[in-house]
Amino acid sequence: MRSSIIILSLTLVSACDRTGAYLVPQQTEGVDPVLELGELLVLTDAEWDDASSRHQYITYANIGAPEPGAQSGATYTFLGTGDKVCIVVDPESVFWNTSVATNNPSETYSYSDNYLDDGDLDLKAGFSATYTGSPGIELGDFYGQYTDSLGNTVEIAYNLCENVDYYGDTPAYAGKANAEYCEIDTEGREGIEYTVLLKTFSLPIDDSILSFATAVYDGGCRNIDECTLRYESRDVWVEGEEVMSSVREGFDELEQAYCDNDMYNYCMANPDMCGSPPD
Amino acid sequence: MRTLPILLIVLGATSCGYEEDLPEIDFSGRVIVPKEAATKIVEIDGVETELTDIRFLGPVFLGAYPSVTNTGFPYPHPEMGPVIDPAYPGNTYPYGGTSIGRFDFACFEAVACKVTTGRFESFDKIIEYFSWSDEPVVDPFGNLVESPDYYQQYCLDYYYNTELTEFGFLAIAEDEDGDLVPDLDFEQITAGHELAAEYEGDFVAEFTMRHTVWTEGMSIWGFLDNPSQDFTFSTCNDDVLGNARNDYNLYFSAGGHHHDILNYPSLYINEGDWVVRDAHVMTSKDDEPLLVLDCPASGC
Repeated sequence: MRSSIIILSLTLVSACDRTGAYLVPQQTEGVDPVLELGELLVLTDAEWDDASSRHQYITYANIGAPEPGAQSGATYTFLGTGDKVCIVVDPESVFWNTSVATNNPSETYSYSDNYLDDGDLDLKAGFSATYTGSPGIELGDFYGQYTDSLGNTVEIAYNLCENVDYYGDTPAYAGKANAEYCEIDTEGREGIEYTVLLKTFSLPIDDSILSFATAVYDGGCRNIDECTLRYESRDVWVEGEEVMSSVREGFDELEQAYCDNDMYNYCMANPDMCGSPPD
Repeated sequence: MRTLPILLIVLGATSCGYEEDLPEIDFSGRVIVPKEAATKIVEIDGVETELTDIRFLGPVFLGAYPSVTNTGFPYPHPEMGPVIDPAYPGNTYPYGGTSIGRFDFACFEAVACKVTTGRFESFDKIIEYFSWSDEPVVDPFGNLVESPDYYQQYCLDYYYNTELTEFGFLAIAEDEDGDLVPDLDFEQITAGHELAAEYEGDFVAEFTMRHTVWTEGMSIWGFLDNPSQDFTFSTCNDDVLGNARNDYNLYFSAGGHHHDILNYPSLYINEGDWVVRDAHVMTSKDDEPLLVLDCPASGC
């Protein structure tokens, strides 16, 4: 009985060596937590359809950690084309679940993911007139109040960017590091300004800076996956007052391996880009 | 020791008087459906015949709204909030609602989304009703279902039921003697009925709208979704998730209501449906509205 108490006490004491502080995002001076990217041009079919040159037209940016209690994210605007437009965002980097089955585990997913380098952005969009935030200063949302003729007030969701889940329900979000997209029909709204809101759901643990790629293109959403927007995982540093970034070394190959279902071979060759190897 | 149970009883009894002050009410009322709404011309043995039958009445959807206006639609329609998506009308933001009858799956895929509760008191009545349509009841083998006994046995097997009263789509109930009697939602108003002076020949049904957010001056309004020519209903979603049937060699959706009927009623009101012309304005929590669905969807 006495030994049990001693063992229990030691166990509890040893647990005290973890503060969990590394899970709390740290602010990086110079990297803004609330970005306003301005007006993005809606890409044409010619600009979008060629995957090899698409990256020249898409927008890359980096979101820093906010002050405690504040929300970080980014906004930008685009003008309605009168047609359907597709809005895409791909936060860094690549995320997968490890295959842990004892029988017939999937070799592709047998290496674990490096979960420290993944972030998550939630996508919303609507008319700029219905956006409640102050671009570049404070994030808002697409909610408004409607008061009926008897004086009752109800909240209206003005978000036009509806993501549908597996069961066809809304709202739905793509999840950590996955490309998220939605389609908006701008018929009859040519030249009308829309605002896109990218709300941070989680920042990467490794540097507390969330890099992402985003674009708006004409026509409906089609065949979007992790490799639609490339090079979104970036190393970020500040020089003077300028935020610099470059594609994280080896990331393009990791992303391609993910899209080719070839992570096992990639992770074997590049263990520092992945998590723990299989048991 | 004896005082403790007494104290508990007293405490329990006092809790019965606790007023929760919920801003909701339950209230009841009646709807009148004109005879014309329950009348169809069908082909019986090759002869076109005019029939009046409550089986031609689909579900009645009722809602409590801030107000009802006569603008924007050929029929009275609840006031709407802002139009956000041009493909949709504005949301009506109802305070509550109910229906008289709902869609229920009557065992065969052939009748999915076509059977309303409170309209059929026997399997015989279901078979007869669909014999008037171009798509009579067929079983999974493609055979015409003509025997009520076969239909009943199939349903008992399908639902693992043992009593006919367990079928939601059968409008039957046990009387005091334990006998099964029809329990239809609608009753035809005949001479001697208190409403006969004004509505003789029409149909009346009772409703209760529960948990409605009480707002003085709210308008009670609704519409009747009548079956189309092919005996289907616009308010039934035949591709609804959550009601898929997967039984051995059968795989299909048994159907269910659309989820936004009261919010966007104009999306579901079509030719052949009937709408409340004069909404009832609630001035007291004790009001018992009498709603008359006398405005055809084509306009009034």
